[in-house]
Amino acid sequence: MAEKTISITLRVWRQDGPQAEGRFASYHAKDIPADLSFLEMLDIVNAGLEKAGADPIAFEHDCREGICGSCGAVVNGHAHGPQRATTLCQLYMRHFNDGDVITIEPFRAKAFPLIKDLVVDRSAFDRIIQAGGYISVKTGTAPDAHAQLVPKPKAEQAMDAAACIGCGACVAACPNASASLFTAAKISQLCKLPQGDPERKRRVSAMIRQMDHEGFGSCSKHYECQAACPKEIKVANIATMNREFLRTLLPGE
Amino acid sequence: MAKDSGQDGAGKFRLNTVSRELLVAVSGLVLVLFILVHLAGNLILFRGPDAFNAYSQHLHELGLLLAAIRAGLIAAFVLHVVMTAWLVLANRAARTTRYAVQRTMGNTNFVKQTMIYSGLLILVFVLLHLYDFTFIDKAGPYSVVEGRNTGQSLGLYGIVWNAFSNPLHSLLYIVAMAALGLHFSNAVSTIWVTLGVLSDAATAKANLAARVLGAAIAVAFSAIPLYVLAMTHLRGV
Amino acid sequence: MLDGKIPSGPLAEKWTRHKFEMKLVSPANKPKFTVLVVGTGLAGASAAASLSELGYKVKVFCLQDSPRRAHSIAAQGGINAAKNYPNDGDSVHRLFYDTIKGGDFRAREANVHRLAEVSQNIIDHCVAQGVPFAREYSGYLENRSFGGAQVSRTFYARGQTGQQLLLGAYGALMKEVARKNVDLYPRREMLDLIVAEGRAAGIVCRNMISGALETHLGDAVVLATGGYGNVYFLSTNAMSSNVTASWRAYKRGALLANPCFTQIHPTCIPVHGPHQSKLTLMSESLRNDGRVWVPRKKGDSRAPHAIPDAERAYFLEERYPAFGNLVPRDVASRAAKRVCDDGLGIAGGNAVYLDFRDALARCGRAVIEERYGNLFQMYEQIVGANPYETPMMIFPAVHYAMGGLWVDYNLMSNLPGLYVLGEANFSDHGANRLGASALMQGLADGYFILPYTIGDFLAGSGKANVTPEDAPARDALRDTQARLDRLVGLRGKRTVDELHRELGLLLWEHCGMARNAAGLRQALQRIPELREEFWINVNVTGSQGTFNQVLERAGRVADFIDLAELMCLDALERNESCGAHFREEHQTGDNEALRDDEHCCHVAAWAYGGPGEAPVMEKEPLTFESVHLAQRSYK
Repeated sequence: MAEKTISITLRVWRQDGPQAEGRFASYHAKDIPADLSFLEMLDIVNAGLEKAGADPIAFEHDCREGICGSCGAVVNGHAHGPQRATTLCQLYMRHFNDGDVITIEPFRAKAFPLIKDLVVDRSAFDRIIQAGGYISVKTGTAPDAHAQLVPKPKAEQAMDAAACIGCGACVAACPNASASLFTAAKISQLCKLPQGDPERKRRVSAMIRQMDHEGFGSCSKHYECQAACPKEIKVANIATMNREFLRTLLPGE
Repeated sequence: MAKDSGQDGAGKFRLNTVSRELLVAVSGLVLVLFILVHLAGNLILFRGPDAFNAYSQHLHELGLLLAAIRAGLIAAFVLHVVMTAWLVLANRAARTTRYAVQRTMGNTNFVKQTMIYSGLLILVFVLLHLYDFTFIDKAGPYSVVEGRNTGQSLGLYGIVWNAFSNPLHSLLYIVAMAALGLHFSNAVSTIWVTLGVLSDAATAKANLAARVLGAAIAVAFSAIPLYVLAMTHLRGV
Repeated sequence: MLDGKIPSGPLAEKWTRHKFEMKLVSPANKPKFTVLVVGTGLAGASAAASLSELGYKVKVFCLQDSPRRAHSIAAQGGINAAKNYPNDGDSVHRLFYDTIKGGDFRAREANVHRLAEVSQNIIDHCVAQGVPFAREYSGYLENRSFGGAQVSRTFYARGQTGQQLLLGAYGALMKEVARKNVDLYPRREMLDLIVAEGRAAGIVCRNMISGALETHLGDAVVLATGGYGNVYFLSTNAMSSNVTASWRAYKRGALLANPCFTQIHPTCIPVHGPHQSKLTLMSESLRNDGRVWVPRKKGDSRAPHAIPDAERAYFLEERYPAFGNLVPRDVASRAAKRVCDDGLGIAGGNAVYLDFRDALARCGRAVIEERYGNLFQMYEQIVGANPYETPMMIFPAVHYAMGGLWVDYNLMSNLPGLYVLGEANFSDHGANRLGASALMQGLADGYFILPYTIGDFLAGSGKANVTPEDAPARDALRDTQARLDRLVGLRGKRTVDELHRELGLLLWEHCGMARNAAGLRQALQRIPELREEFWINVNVTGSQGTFNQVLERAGRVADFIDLAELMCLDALERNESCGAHFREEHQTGDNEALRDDEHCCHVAAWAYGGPGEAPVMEKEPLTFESVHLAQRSYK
């Protein structure tokens, strides 16, 4: 294959640690094949830095298939870059042009403290799930899988919400650094299934409380999260979360 | 909402953000209804001073009911402002380091991004508006319109007329109504998400309706100063 | 001779009987035991959650920032279970038989039968957890067929089954963390196993943020650290998947079984160039509707749609009429390699077509989109071509390791107290794993097997009672520190990735889809040279005491080099072809794998021989009571 190549300039946020001073550093990436992924382009830049004995750019990545949710950075002002429904690892250099200057910053939110360069600590998400993002069934107690039927549309809606990969792009893209979409997606998945019904009141209250406690902002309905979400999770889930919360205010049960 | 409001680590009583959003939405909904009623009342002005003043008079005769409505409105307004302020402070605190480059993914827009400013503008406007039209002596010298009603008071009608025959006053009013229209349109389109009451498809339709309604409100409110200006300056009445 | 500790009795009753015969730990005593679980994929997360539910104290470790990111998340296609919901003749025995046969008769009968038995409980449990499996309009669960099976027994959640199952297990784990019965240690990489008086009693791990080494002690250690496919550099595994935990255990005395059994998955996106960092799998489920072909004519450069059917070689359908495009992975991969070796690959290279033209015409775009929409989208993102319009190009890639640490029927290694689950162990897939069986095995091990068997050990052996001041803990910490010091001191000229890539190419060539004695010997000569090059000429930037991804990779590659040597040795010793292990010297007249049941019907378990010494092979003979060893045929 005769490969098209491009040369670009990167402006990358470099910061040695949480307390250290951060700054932008510029790197030139020459003759990058357009069929490379964005992260493979960073690999090349890093190989160059390593060869020169310099500290390579720290960035998170793992599956490189868009499903583990490890990767993520703000590229030219867009969480996960400019392509819709795409994680950073699934962004390809063919979407850039020769001579482009690309600014790469970490996801920024108070609840995502920076660790190094483009790496941030997203453990706040784990704690939100710990607050109630599960169905408390103990191993071995489940009835036959067909004991409770789930209407297909409900199962599909639950799956739409469950597709969340926990990457944090919703927080990164939100003007308020809100984790509403992440939190709502899990609440929405579980409340749509009959198995999740018994715990629904406790779940929604506890998860919202934890979300607030972590220092995320609130939802002002900018819908930027939905646009940035690599799995196209919908803001409708936030409506579901609020509805679930309103249910907790009703008397009874 | 006390049921779900937990105690914070510091022992401080807090409402969670969703509760605050809901309070903003519900108080906003009260204000929306008020605005629609207010607008309907305003439009009586086009039927002349007698009808308009009679309407004003009728309102005041409600007595205790009016006081209750006013108290409710003030409560809704204060709640709306306080809850919003509280949310905004939390939202600002949620991102301490700003992005060097931040672009929209195309879903937010000028109106959404300036809700707080249109809101503040409306706040200032409301205070001035109360000073101009509510707390003023309805039979005082400012209610006399030159060359009309043989120098007798024209009541609230006269006060409105005098105010809007001043082009600067009208302009400010129209700007405020534009802000109100924008604030209103976004508020009405997002309130359904906050309250979680509409389906996806219905929310999309509600968005369109909210925009049309927002524009209609701004135009309808602005019609009065425009009418007064036209009458005083073009026809020289 | 190794003893697999297989319970006596008829095959179908072994597990039930064994569950009754095992000793129990009383509810009051369970909280006194601490279990360390390393890895939070399906096996690790399910085990940690289930053990904690039982009352054991659990500490769980993962090298990702969150347990939810373990590589199980990337499994696409589905999970098998012998539910027989479609009423198409499935049964526990059929799933057992398919798995044994799929593994080319190199797995333990008793283990595989147990796997088939508990498969049903897995589906029940996952549904109860809220895993949104695909459903029919009736509200009942939907099934699909998968490679190597003639029944539809695969449950799935779109193309994200692994993700949904893992999120279920992760949720269960988070529930136990919230209950404060599980201590969660993310961003920790296990670098050594602490063995005291022959018993596994702890681990040494590095805090990947601060760089500090930590010692954690417990009464049992559970390794659920996944497979070692990344030894080939290019594989479908996640970038951080590695062999280090298993390799450290091996060096502390655990046996490593059948390391040469590595699965090459037939449907992956072909390599695009020298800078490629990893390969992407396209779910095997695509073969349900996609047809695999190459042009009949060498050098046919026409666009695929311009090539008429008569000039296309649908080589799987032609060669294996009974299973067609649904032959097991090893068979499909080798067939693709063969046509490419014959020069029939697309554009003369290493790629074949996977064509949905006929399925689109038959079912319509909407149906295909519902079944595979996200996979098609992923393909388009990566390759920049639309598979609705032009056939996909695929080629086999390293995907799964059937080999792994040796365990007995109780999933315990030869080191008492060391349990190995999921892909990290060798137990259930023999020489080749069937599609949708990895998820089944990981969850079976974690939810339904270990929670029973670990009690038997703890009840019998009591607490380990090792302290950080004891010699085994101090030694392990000291050795780990020395190794890190050595790595950090390396300031050579080559990057870690360069050497890793070189190792991968070497292994792919000589110990990949086809192996022969001469090639393996050549690799065995070359690998020690590579090791020397690594320990002299690699460049490790930065220091230990910081977030240092180069150091992390360097440690893993050092272990991969050692593992590669053992893999080649194992491949050379196994003088037969079976499953994914295809020795060119051993094939039938029509190029199918030729087993040697007389000499090779065993598990090859390797023991570390000490520094500079050759490893020692121990054999566990495989005996088959209820199946007849036949030549595997899918024709």
